[in-house]
Amino acid sequence: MSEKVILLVEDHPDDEELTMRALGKNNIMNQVVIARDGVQALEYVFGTGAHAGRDLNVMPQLILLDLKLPKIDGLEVLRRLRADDRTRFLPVVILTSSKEEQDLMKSYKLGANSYVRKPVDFVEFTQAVQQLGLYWLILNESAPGAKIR
Amino acid sequence: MYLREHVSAIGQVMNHALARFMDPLYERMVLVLTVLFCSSLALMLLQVSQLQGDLIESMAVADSQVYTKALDDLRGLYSSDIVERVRFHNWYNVYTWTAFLLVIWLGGLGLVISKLRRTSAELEHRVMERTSALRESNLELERQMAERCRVEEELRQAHLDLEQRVHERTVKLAEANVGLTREITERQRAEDNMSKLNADLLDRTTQLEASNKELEAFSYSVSHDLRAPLRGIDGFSQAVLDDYHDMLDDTGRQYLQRVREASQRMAKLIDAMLNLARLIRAELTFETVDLSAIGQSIVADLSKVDPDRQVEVVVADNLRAIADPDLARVVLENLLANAWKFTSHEEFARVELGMTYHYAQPIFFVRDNGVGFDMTYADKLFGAFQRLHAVSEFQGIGIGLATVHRIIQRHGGRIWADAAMEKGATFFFTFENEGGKS
Repeated sequence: MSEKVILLVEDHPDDEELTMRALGKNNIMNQVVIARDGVQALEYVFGTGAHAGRDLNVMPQLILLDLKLPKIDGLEVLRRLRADDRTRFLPVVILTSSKEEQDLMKSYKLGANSYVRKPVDFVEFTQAVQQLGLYWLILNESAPGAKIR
Repeated sequence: MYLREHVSAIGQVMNHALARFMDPLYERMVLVLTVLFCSSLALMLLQVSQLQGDLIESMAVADSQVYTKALDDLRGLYSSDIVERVRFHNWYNVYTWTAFLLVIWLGGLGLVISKLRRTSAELEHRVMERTSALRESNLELERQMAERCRVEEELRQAHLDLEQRVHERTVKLAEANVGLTREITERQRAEDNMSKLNADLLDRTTQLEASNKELEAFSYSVSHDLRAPLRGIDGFSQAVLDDYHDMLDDTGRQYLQRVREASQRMAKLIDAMLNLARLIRAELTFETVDLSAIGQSIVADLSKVDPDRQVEVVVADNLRAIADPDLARVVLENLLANAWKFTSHEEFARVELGMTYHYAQPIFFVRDNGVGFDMTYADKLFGAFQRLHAVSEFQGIGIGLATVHRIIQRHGGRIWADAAMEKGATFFFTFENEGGKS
C-alpha cells in the first residue's frame, strides 16, 4: 500500500495541515507528496524542474487537487494532465472550498474523476477524507497505464 | 329687356294693324268715292249756276224786249208752270244726283267703315290674341325666367356649396396636414426618445452585465477565500480538543466548541449569501409549475426530518403558476419550512398552502397557526439576515424570506404578510404582474 503515492496540491498551509491530520486520523499512511502550486504539481507529475529525474514509473495513485492555486491554477493543471497520455487516466479528485457551478462544470469537462467540497466542520472533513482514501486507494482499480508508466 | 321686347311686340302689332288699315285698296276706294262725290257736286253746282245765268239772261232779254209782258203773261199763263217745271227739273236733277251720290258715297263710306270696323275688330282680336299669346308667352317666359333664375340660383348655391365644401375640405386637409406634421414630429421625437432609451437600456444592460460579472467574481472569491479561514478555525479548534483534551477543563472545552459552532454558523451564512447572489443572477425559465405537487413533496421532506412532529398539513389541489420551477420550489421550501418551524411550539400545529383570488388574480398563500409576529416589524421581514425571533427560540439565519422576496421580485410578483403575535402568520404571494402573465 505504501507505494501508492498521494499527490496533495494545496497552497494553504492550514488546509495542508488539516488534510494531513485528517489522513492521519484515518490511518492512511501512504506517502503524500505536497505541491504548493500548479507548477510544482506539474513538475512532480512529469519529472521536471525540482522533480527532474524522478522515476516516472511511479505515478500518484490519487491526486487531491485544489482549484485556486498560485501560478497555474487547478483547472489548468487538470487540463495538462488530461492532455498527456502518461497522466490521462490518473484519478484526480478536486478538493476545494467552492461549489460554484462554473467550477464544477469546468472540472468535469476537463475530466475530473470526482469533486469534493471541503466542509468547514472538521469532523465532516475527516469523514470525507476517510471516504476518499477508502474509495480511491482501496476500492477503486486504476487504469493500468497510469501505474506502469 | 323684357319691357323692350313687350314694347317691340306691341309696336309690331300696331304697325301691322296700321298697314292693314292703310291698305291701298281701301285708300283707293275712299279716294275714288271722294273724287266722285266732289266732281258730282261741282258738276251739279255748275249746272245750277248755268241755269241761273240762263235765267238772268232771259230775264234781262225780256226786260229789255217787248216780250217781257208776253213773257210775263206767258209766265203767268203757261210758263210759270213750265219755268217751275224747268226749275223743278233742274233742282230735281241736282238733288237727285246729289242724293244719289250721297247715298253711294255714304254706302261706300259705310262699307269702308264696316270693313274698317271688321278689320279693326279683327285686328283688335288679333292684337288681343297676340297680346294674350304674348302675355302667355311672357308668362311662360317669366316662368322660364323664374325657372332659369331658380336653376341659376340653385346652380349658384350648388357652386357656393361646392366652394364651401372645397374650402372646408381644404381647411380640414390643412388641419390634418398640421396634425400629421405634428404627429410625425411627435413620432420622430418618440423615436429619438426610444433610441435614447434603448441606448440607455443598452448602457444599463452593459452596466448590469458588468455588475453581474463583478458579483460573480465576488461570489467566486467569497466562495473560495472566506470559507478557508473558517476551516482553519474549526479544524484547529477540533485539533486542540482532540490533542489537548486533558489539558483543558470543561469550560475551556466548551468555549472551543462554541468557536467551532460560530465558524460553522458563519460558513452557513456565507453559503446562504452565495445562494442569494446566485438567485439574483440566475436566468429564469418560465413554465407552468404544479405548486401543489411541489408543496406535497416539501411537506413530505419536512416530515421525514422531523418524524415526531404532528402537523396538520393542508395543500390545495391544482395550484398552478407560470414560474421558474427551481425558484418556485425555493419559495415554497422557505415558506413551508418557516411555517413548519414557527408552529413547533403549538399543540395542534396546522400548515396550509392554498390559493385565493383578488380581482380575478390568483394569490397563493402559506398559512400557519404558529407563533406569528408583531406586524410593527413587518418591514424588516424580507430583509437579508433580519430576524424577528431570537435564535435561542427558533433556529435560522434570517435569509429565507429575503431569498423568497428576491425570487418573487424577479418573477414580477408580490409578497406580503399578515400576522399577529401568537396568532399565526399568512404569507401571500403572486408570481405574476397584476397585468398579465410574466
